[in-house]
Amino acid sequence: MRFDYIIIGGGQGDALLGRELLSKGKSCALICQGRQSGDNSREAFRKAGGCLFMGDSVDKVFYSEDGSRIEALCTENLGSGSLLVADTYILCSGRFFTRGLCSDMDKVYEPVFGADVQFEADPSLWCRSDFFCRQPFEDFGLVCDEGFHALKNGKQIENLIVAGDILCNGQNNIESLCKSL
Amino acid sequence: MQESLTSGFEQCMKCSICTEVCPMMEVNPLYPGPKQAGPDALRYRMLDSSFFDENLKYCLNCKRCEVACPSGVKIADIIASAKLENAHSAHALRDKMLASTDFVGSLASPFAPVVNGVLSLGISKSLLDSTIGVSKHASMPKYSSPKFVSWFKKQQASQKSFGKQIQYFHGCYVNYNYPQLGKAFVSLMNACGYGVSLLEKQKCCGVALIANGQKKQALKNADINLQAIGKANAPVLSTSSSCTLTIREEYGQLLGKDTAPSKEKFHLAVKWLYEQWEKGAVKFAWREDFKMKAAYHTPCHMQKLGYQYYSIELLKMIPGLELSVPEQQCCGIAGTFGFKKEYHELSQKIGSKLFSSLKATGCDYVITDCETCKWQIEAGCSLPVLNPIEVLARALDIEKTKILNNNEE
Amino acid sequence: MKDYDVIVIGGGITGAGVARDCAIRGLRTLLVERADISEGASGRNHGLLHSGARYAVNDSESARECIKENLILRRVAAHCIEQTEGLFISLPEDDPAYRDNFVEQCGKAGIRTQVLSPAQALALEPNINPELTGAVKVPDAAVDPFRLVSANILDARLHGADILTRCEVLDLIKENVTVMGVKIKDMSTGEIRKIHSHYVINAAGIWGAHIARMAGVEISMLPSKGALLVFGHRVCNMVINRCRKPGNADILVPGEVVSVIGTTSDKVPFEQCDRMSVSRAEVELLLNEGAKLVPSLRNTRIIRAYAGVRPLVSDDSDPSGRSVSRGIVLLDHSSRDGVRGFISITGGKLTSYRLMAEMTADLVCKKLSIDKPCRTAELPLPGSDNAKTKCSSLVMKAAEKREGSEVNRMSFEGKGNELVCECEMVGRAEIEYAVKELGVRTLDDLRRRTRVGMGPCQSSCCLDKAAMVLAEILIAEKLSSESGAGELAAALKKEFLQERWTGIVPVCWGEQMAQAEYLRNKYGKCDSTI
Repeated sequence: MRFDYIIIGGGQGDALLGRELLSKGKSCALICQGRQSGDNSREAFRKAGGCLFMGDSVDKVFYSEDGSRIEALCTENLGSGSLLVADTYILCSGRFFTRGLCSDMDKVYEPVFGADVQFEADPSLWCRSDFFCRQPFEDFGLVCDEGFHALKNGKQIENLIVAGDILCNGQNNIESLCKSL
Repeated sequence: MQESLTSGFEQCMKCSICTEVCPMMEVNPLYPGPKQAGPDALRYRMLDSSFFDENLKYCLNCKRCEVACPSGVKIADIIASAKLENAHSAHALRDKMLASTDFVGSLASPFAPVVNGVLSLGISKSLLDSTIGVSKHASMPKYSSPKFVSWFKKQQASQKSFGKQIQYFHGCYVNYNYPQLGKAFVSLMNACGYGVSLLEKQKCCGVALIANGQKKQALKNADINLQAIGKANAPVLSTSSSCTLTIREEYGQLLGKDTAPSKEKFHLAVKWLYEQWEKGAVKFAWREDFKMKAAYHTPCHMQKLGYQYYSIELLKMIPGLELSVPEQQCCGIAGTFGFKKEYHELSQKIGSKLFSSLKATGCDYVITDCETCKWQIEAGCSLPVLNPIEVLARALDIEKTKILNNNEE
Repeated sequence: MKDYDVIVIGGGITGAGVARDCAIRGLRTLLVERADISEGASGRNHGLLHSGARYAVNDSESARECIKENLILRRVAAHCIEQTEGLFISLPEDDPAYRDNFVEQCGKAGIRTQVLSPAQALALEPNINPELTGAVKVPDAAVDPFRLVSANILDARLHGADILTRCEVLDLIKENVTVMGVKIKDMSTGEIRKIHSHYVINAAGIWGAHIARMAGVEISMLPSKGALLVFGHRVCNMVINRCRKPGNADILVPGEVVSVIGTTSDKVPFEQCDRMSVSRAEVELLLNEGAKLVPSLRNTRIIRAYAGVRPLVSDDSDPSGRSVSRGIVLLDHSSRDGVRGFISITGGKLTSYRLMAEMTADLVCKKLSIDKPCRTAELPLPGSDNAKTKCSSLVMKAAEKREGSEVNRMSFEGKGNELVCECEMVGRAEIEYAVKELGVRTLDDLRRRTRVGMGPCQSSCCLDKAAMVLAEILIAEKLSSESGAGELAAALKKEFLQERWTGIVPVCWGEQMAQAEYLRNKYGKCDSTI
């Protein structure tokens, strides 16, 4: 299946971004696992002509030989026989709750592409004892270049744009992406 | 403890979105809801199995909770497993009958005209209602004579002449109730250049057996089906979304079977067809005089599979088809659930939103991949319902399609 | 005329047991506790009812004590105990000779054992380390320490004792060499009172040294910190121990719907005893050692870490103060220090609390010339009296699991059947009972008695509802000075969230990191105006 854009979603604003792309005449697919309370944006995206793969997640990613481009994806539901291909992929998978970011005892990582994540190396500094103040882990997230391309081991993935609150240091570029894409 | 190992229950964050999207929650205050019945109660059932809640009988197994869950918890599977282990039916005979589609179908089919006539009489419906508890308000599906397999036997020889082959898992519905779908499927596949054969052996997929606690029979059927699929030397296609979900997923998650054979070879026909088309292996030519105004309904099990894209994209290829796709809703039948006297009203309440939205499209036909949705929608909307395969077969210009596909030989 | 015969300081298991025994014998009894019940070591342990096997090799006296008390408590505290049995498993690196000696010593102490082959042990517990070389089955059991303390306190009250929680002892009242009572401060109102009694019993755990100093008496205590982890579900059905010389993290206990692994043993300064926290290093140690018992623990969701301080007393007979006194320490300060009217009871274990209480009550009665025998080995605690119960809903059934036959005193009609904490199946009726009968005033108090907030989500799901219901009940029972349920609920929530957070921080990764984010997003972004 070919699309102009494939959004690897789950985070806030994924469908909003999708609708913006549809309104510019682009074809767009959104892959997301589940939804949040009170959020009807996915249905609005589907009604506007978007291709919604809800309750699904990326299983495998196929890269170009030098790893600088994503060539295709396949998902858990559709299986490895069904390749999804896009010109541009957008990673808008949210944070820990939506599994856009994952962690084990001593590291934080991005599970789909293994994109570079900024996080505190010492796990004992991941939280503060005061529940009511901002926690260090709330600032962990993806590092990107100026064009919001994802980085993997410091190298840009040319056709992977990072969107939403998965970014580090509390950034959220949904609004600006809506304008620039 | 087996239900805990693969269900992902530890991933539950208690966000409760599953409870918000559950169609039973909206209409029945007795149902504890997917979160409570699933990952919550599982921890207590692990301590003491008598913590099983009888009200789990209301779970429709629609899987909408799983589709909505951001944490990947197999909530419906946890509930279905708990029911398989613990549930006791107050109407054991009826549940066994409704679930034993092969048994009842093979008895009823030879006498189809008589059976259909008798079952539609008011007095028989009242009798079934007051004795074993089959709702008198439910329209019983019509049986067909001859069975699909009887008809197919006559085609077997000619089907072997095709260079490319696929195998057809017809399922109970096509065989005993609606061979027309099977015939449409064969005609469509032939036009695409594929001959059809049947598996060496097949039984009911068992979706109703599982839902009605008939674990032993479900396991038997699963073994037979998986063995036959394992032996298949061509893709095995199904025209039913529920058979496909059961054989590809439920056999593993609920019955503990090794589903490698079905994952490799068993496919929903619309998905397989679309993928062949995408590769250029199959081509379609459409009749110019085909006109239809239809609404596509995504069955809950289809949504769980994630395959609705394939039905919709195939249907969109038909030039004369005006297609609308309203928001996905549960039809409420949940297989045998809606036929049961004590649940019939709930089933209708759940489906009422869908019925309204389908009627609001102003369509002449509803298209859907699930046979039980078909029954429910036909009864609830008084609209004719067709499987996408039937629509494709009707819209296809058979001769032109044959030529397009034969040129590839 | 004194206000009371006996004032017991400390609302942990020791104090609760002493107050109950004294009250049953007809002594006019007051218990004072500066916080809520079981906030010290009694609320921060494994939840293990020892068979005594763990002590059989090195401390046969403790072993004998434990098995005797274990068997008694199974009868009289039945609803607090799950008769899980236990396994002592040997791994390839463990000396098989130790196991043989272990079995022999258990026999000598009266602890019945059954030697199992690895295959037999794995059939009982499929999750244990498949490389085990052998196992011994022992009569270990799981106990809910909060329920045990709560039931003792309730029975003390039912036998006429007065219970004052949230009242801190500021000083002892002394006249020459005699202790005459206590000076307490009510922590909620700030009111200071003097209460007089014939005897004061120091059952304040690790804080017993501080209380003793008020009497001019020195007890040398060695605070020893033990850290533990809670896993989100029941991993094994039996207690799993390591069959070797006791070491770190070699006990895994099923706590009904969770599992607890522990523990460690590190000296800490007294100042830290009120602010216990668990470090990542301790968590790693617990997990690594625990995984040797049950390998799948590495992939099991950890919901919380906590730590308690053991009140270890240094042996009076060793002037260096470095050797720890094993077993129960009952100090009659009259003969030891020349200070009258004052007794300290410390050391021991949760499992032997009843015996500690018996010894203490015997001593007090002797001092007061009261001839009443101990009956706590026969009298069942409230909830354990085998009275018939009829549970018509799962919410009632869960309440029965926690409170035993006391469920008959809860009213589940109408609103009472409303589910408040879905994860732990706690209904409004159980919360009402806990407020009226068990002294609940905050969400943390409620948690200890009903499990609200003790599940994997650590109250993410039910906090709003639980706070509101508790606030409504407290106001209806005139137990709060707040006028509005909303304001009270907000204050209750804030306090509870901070407390829950302390246990989440050390284990904040994987699923619990996602839960922490969810908790923060839902409740953490505003402060007291939530």
